[in-house]
Order: sequence, then structure tokens, then C-alpha cells
Amino acid sequence: MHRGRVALLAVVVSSMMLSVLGRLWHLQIVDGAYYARAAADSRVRTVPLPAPAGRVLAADGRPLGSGALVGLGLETWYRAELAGRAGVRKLAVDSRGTVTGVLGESGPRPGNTLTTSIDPRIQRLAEQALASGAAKAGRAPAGAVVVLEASTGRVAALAGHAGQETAARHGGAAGVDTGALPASGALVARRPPGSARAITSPAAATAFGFGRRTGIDLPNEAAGSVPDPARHPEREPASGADDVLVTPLQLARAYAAAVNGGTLFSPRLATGLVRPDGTVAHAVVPPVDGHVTVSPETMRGLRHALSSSPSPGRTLHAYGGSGTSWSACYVAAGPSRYVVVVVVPWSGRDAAGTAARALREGIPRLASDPSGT
Amino acid sequence: MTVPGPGLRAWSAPFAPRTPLDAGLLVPSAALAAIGLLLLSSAARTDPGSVLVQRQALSVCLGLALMWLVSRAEPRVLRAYVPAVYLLGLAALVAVLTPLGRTVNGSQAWIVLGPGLGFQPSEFAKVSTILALAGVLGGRREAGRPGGRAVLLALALAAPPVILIALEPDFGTALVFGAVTIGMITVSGARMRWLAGIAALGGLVLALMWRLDLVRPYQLRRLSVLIHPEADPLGSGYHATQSRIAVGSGEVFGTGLFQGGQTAGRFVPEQHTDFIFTVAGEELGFLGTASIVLLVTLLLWRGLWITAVSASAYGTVLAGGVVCWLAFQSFVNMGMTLGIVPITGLPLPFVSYGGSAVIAAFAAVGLLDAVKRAREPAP
Repeated sequence: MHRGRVALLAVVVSSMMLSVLGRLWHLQIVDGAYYARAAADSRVRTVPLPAPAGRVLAADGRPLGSGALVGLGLETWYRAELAGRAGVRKLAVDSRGTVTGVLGESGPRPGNTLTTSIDPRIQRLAEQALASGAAKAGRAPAGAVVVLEASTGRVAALAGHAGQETAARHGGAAGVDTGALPASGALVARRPPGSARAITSPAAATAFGFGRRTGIDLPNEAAGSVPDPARHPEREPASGADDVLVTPLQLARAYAAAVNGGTLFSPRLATGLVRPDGTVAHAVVPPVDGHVTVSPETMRGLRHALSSSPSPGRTLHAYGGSGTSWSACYVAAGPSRYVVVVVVPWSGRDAAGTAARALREGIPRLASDPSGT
Repeated sequence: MTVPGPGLRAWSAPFAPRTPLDAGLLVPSAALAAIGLLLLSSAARTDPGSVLVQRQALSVCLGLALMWLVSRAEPRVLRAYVPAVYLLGLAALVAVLTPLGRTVNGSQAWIVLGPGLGFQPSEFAKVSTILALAGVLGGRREAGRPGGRAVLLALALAAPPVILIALEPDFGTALVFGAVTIGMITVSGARMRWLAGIAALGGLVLALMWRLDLVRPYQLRRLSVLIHPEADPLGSGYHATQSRIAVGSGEVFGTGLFQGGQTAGRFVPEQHTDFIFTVAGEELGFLGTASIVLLVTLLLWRGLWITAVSASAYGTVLAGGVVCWLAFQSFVNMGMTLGIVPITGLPLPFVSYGGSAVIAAFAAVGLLDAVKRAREPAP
């Protein structure tokens, strides 16, 4: 009787020990590698070491700190190059998270420095010109200025105020929020080019790159629009001009093409990316977006109109329509040739002329005064 | 230089100094205690001021001495002291619930006598209760088995310590008493209907506890994390998850003694006491843990053999009680670190840190040796 009961106890005891042994086999041998990894993970904390971001430099080599250009999206466009690569430090930790040692480290790689063609003196001049022009017209600062180096397609200055009117009427229509982006008016404010009909007749408009993005190294650029000639065959070329909507940047590069012999550039702010050790990672050259073939007569006329002596109304290629006006000019300063386009969101034959003339007179002075004061 | 007088000879008569301790009991239990000291020194190595190892070594020595003393005792002589021992154990369990008791980890289970000198009455109550139940179940017998009165008396004797320990509250230890009582009644040869009745009563008590909301929320959580430890990885599941990770990460050979990162980082709470098996798991691997299981099994089988061949019913029931105690407690302890049993605070006999536990366990092995010795002819 007792022997039977003791045997029963022996079976119970043995199965208890066997189940422990079986579970151990499963945990330590079948799943051992998994738990070994889990253990290692719980003992190691990986701390990211942020990489110092690269700086953005103006043409004079100083940091580009001007308020008007911040937020345009240049840093976003070159984000990958500027960010560098974060490093990691692996720390040994105990159950309370207390660090007990450093297991290893791979240092961060700092971001590259972005050099730009923005000339801070021209930039400042552009911002001041826009402000004084608005003050003279008795309005709040609004509009945009583009200064483009005519022979290279590099951007020397990009200034502007994307006022509420601009944002609502143009940026809004383009589906882009421009209200928060100063200077972006140069990219998104689409306006009828008015009397620049030599370059905006439906046939010429496409050749000069209207109706498509210039491809500048900034986000949120608007394409503007050009009416499809096939859909309005009955229209006179001249009367179609007001259906063309262009951005100040498109106008600027079209004028640049007119004065440089027909090369249409995709404008660039960046001139290159420089590694932390000073070597050049890569140079940025504005790519050629196309060649404009217009009659030599038209070219000559444009160049003359743009560069003739500054007297109101005639000397600048200008347009004043309802609710908008713009003014363009061609400036030689030392070895550089610039095309300046000013656009303001109010009417008047010479509404944009004040600012344009200020630049036309100011830029050559900068070239003769290297100190920049 | 004088021949020992008859008085001294009479005093030493119950003892048989020339009979050594049973190797089948001594070797596994001492080996487990030695492994325990190694694991403990590893678990305490990140705490330079720790005196756990020294204290545990002292407890092991005291335990070995007590085992030797108990093994020399004639079971019939021991029987005479059982009522006193039982009452003393009960008194200590009552005292622990008074302001004399000290609460550690939520259980008021310790009596502190002085700085660094305390004991856990429930550990000694295990020995005294087993002795008392053996006296009842292995005593007067009707047709070779204990009668109904004996079984009821055994239940009546087991109930007070279980209730007092459940009040501490120390649910795990109370369960050990339950398992030991059922095991001893089984081995005593009592009729199966008594066992069935006890099982029904147990079910009824559990149902009543459930209905009266006596089941504490943490006990329910421990049950649920047994099935889904990942459900609450930082709360109730933390212990279970970390314990499993530590054991599993040892793989076949372990990281080596004193080399375990989980042990050094103290990822498993209570790794020196109830969860010392995780240190073996991580640092000694499957070879180490399987060796511990093997040593426990050898000890239990030796105890079962002694139970089976005991010359008296009293010896059988006594040895069976000790085997049930050590088997149940070892299984629950190792099982909870491996995630097959809910987490209850029970130490691993001989291995876990804890003076009262290790001394009581060695005393229990001494009882097994005494039972074995009783069947041998007097020299």
C-alpha cells in the first residue's frame, strides 16, 4: 500500500524535475541565441552623436545670416549635404540605466558647408530698394526683387515680401503657402508680363521658358502659365500676352537670355559644397536649360531698352497693369553683368521703377567700392 | 586518562558516532549549498561592501552542524519533543504578526533579534509541522492506514501555520504547507476518499476566496504575466521577462562564473535570494542548471528511497513530508524563474541566500538520515 503511494510520489517528483529540465532545454538551447541577443540589447544603450550641421556662406565667405533668405528653403534643398552623418556611442548600462562603461564609438561626420553666389551687399541693397519704393508709394513693403548674373545664371540677390495679397492671389492659387516665406514672391508670384511682348508672345513665351519651372535650387517654385495656342487660335499674339502668367524669376532669366546671347539657365544660389577639411565636395554650376532663338533685331532692341540711361518710363523695360507692375534693367558692375527684375503688387506705370533705379545706380557703386560700406 | 563512566556512555547511547552521514543525502545537499555560495558571490560582486557570502557561509556551517545533530537522534526520541517543537513554531508564527515582526518585500515574515540577527519562523515551522503531522499520521493506525480521525487531526494541525503564514502574507510558503500536508496524507496510505475530500475542500476554499475578493490584484497579475509576460514588460511582467532573458542568454555553456552581464547589471530583482537560479542560468548555462536539477533530483530520489524502505510508518510519513517539501519548493522556485509557474517568493533550498531557509533545509535532510538510520541494526 505504502509502496504504491511512494511510487506515485516518485512519479510526481520526477515529472516536476523533468518539466524543469525540458523548459531549461527550450530556453537555453532552442531559444538561447534569441535570449542572448535580448540580454545584450538590454545592457547596451545606443546614444546618437549629432553631427554639426554645415553652414551656408554668402559670396563673401561670411555666414549667410540675412533674414530675408532664411526660410526660403535653401537648407531644405541641400539638407542631405548640410546635415552630415550622426555618430553613435554604445554605452554599457545596468538595470537602473546607470552607465557602467563605454563599449565603442563612431564619431559623427560634420555636414558640408554650402557656398552661395548671394552677394550680401546687393542683397541688402535689394531689400532696402524694395522698402524705400514701397514707402514712396505709401504702401506696406511688398513685392520681389531678383538679381541674376546674366552670363552665368547665378543668383546674386533674392529679396521680397510675400504679402497677404500675393499669398492669397498667387501663392494660394498655386497651392503653395507663401505667407511665411519672405522673398519667395520671386518664385511664386505669377503676374502678367505686360508689355514685354517681344518675349511673351505665345510663340516666344515657351522659348523663353515661361510656363515651366526654372529649376532653381529652392523648393515651392511656381511654374506660371502660358495659354495653349491650339486652344485659342483666333487670338492675336499680342492680345494673348495678358494670359501669360510669369514669376519674377522666370522674367529675370528670360532677360538674362536676351542679353547673354540666348542661353536660358536654370538659376542657382549654391556655388558649391565644401567638406569640413576645406576640400570641395562638388561645385554647383547653373545648368543650361535651353537656348532661345529670337531674331537679332529683337535681341538688340531688348538689350538697348534694358541698358539705356535711367530716365523714368522709357529707359527701363517696364509694365504697369491693374494691380501689378514690374520693372527690369541691366547693370554692369566691374566684370559682372546683372539683370534686375522688380515686381510690386500695385498699379502704376512706374510703380516698380523706383526700386529698380535704386539698384541700377547702387550696384555699380558697390563694384567700385570693394570695402562694401 | 580515565575510562568514560557509565553516565557518559548512557548519554551517548542514542548516538552512533561511527556511522557516517548518508552520502546520498550529504553529497547533493552540500554540493547545492556550495554552488549556492558561488552563485551568491557572483550575484553580490557588484556590491563591494556586501557580507552576504560570509553570512550565508556561516548559515551553511550551522545547517550542516544541525543536520549532523538531528541525524544522530533516534526518531522515537524526537517524537517526544514534537508537541513542544510544534507549539514553539506556532508561537513564533504568532509573534511575527505582532510588532516584533519585520516586514521585508511586503511580507511580515521576519523576527529581528538584533542588528544583522534575525530569522524567519515560517522556515522552522515547516520542520515542526512535518514532525507533528508525521506523529499523527504515522502513529495509531487502523488496518495499516491512518483513520479518519488521524487525517482530520492532521488537517487541524496543518491549518494554524497555513493561516498564520497566509496572514503575513506569504502565499508561496502557505502553498508549501498545503503541498506537504497533501503529500504526507498520500504517503501515509490514508484512503483515497480522504484525498478526494481534501481536493474538493481546496477547490471550495479557492472559490470562496475568489467570491470574497480575497485574491489580491498582484496575484492575478502574476498569473496573467505567466501567460503573457510581454503584456506588462515594466510592471508585473518585468520580473518574469528579465528572469527568462537571463536564464536563456546562458545558452549551453553560460558566460562563465562572475562573467554574467545581466547578473552584474542586476537586471533580475532578488537575484541573490528567490531568483538565484537565474545567475546559474546566465553564468553556468544549461550544463550548470541541468547539474543543479540533477543534484536536486538525486537528493529527492534518495529521500524517496528512504521513504520507501523505512522500517516504521512514522518514518515513512516523516521522510515523505520532507521530500514533498523540498520537491515542491524546488519545482516552484525553478519553475517561476523559467516562466512555467507564477512568481511566488520561495527560495531554492540550499542555494538561495537566507539563513533560516538553509538551516531548516539541512535540518530536514538530517531528519531523512535519522529515518534511514532507524532501520539499521544497532551496532
